Amino acid sequence: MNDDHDLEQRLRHLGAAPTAPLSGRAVHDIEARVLATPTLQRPRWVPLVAAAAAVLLLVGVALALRHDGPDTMQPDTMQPATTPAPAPTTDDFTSTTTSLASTSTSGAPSSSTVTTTLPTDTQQPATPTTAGAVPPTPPSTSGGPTTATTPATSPATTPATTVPATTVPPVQIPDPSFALQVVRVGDRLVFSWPQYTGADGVRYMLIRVAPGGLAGWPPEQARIAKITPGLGMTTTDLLLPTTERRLWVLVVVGENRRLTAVSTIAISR
Amino acid sequence: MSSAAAIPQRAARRHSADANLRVMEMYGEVDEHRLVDLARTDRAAFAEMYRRHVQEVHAFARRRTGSAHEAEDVTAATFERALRGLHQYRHTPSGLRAWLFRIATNEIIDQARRRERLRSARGQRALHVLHADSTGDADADHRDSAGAFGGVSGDPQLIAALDRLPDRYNTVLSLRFIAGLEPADVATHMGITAGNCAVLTHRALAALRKQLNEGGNP
Repeated sequence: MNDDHDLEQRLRHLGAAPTAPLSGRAVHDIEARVLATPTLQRPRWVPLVAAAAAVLLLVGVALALRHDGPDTMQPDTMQPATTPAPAPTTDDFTSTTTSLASTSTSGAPSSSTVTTTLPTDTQQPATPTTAGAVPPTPPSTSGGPTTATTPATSPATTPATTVPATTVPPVQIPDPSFALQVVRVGDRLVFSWPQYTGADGVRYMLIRVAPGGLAGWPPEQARIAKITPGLGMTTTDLLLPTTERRLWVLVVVGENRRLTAVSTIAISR
Repeated sequence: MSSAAAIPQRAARRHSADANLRVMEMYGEVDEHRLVDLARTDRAAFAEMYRRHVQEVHAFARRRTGSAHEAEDVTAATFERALRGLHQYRHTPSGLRAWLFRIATNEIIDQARRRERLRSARGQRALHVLHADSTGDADADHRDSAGAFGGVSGDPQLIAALDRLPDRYNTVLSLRFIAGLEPADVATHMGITAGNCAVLTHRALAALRKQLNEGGNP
């Protein structure tokens, strides 16, 4: 038993022996070696599940468009504040839903309406309580009734002021204010940029973007290529053996993850 | 960046969208659980995971192998294995660290086995010749455990005896005493109960003592 204790102590002593940490260069070299490992090996059923999920997503989006159609068209049907809209009937709901459903599948006009009116629609449940004349919403009807009751309470001239804004509007993307450069060195892309000197920046974020540039904020998680721990660096590299054309921007992120500055688009091949 | 000075003022006027931005997690701030989930599909997240754990994995490998070069190899191989096997990782209370130590231990065992295979009779003869020229130098590149390369005071006899143990004994002792994991964590990562782990540890210590005695060391 005593021998066991001594042996344990000997093992623990080995486990507590001081070691020199890996040098920064060694850390970097090993990281490069590790990240050069071939693609993640996933079970073979993953692509099938992903495909099935994509199909379900498409079906879901299509269904959502059908149901959301009346809501998203609401501003177009608004009446002036002085002219309350007549209370809708079930027939009205039905006809509205039908026509909008067909509109939503017809292409660009309906989709643009969706994007512009969606934030307002999220406030709809609060609207009826401000106007006693609004008939209660039939619970069994999806989407349509809410839209139809809105014109009676929301003046067409100032729809935004009648609805308390609790949904955060999309962040405005600033104009590019500094240059991002990229060169290929073997399998790596090396990015460089001038140092950000403003006091409101916290870190840089490298983002792969579509040809139109940074489309929104925050970006999709999958598009974030790198995040730096601070603002001290002015260069970074990325292992990317493929030579396909890719577009990148570097953004400066401030406190509370605020988008502070955006670079020009750099194109890699 | 000359134009950068004007940027803060413009940014200050911009509407804050904190609610939306909270959706986005910075890798540098995310907890381990979420980071692992992200790292399953995102190399950048895996790189962050690597940076968080590389030093402790390396320290463990350095102590367990007694060799700086081998420790680097083990460290790299551990993270390569982790990258390939991350989809199989299941969150446990002991966390990612224990999982990485387990992988590192497996890698150390594999490397020791490969080394043994290379030590054919011919190789042994070559080693003897080298030993005759410079006593102990043949092992110096493998076991620089005298502390000259990184501070490990080392216990080459103990390390060699561990390498000769059966895999399960080797694993339980490495994880329990060298990595310093709790018995429950060792049991979890070895897929055994805490009771079995205690028995296994006891038997492993006995086997280790036997190895040391056979090797002429106390």
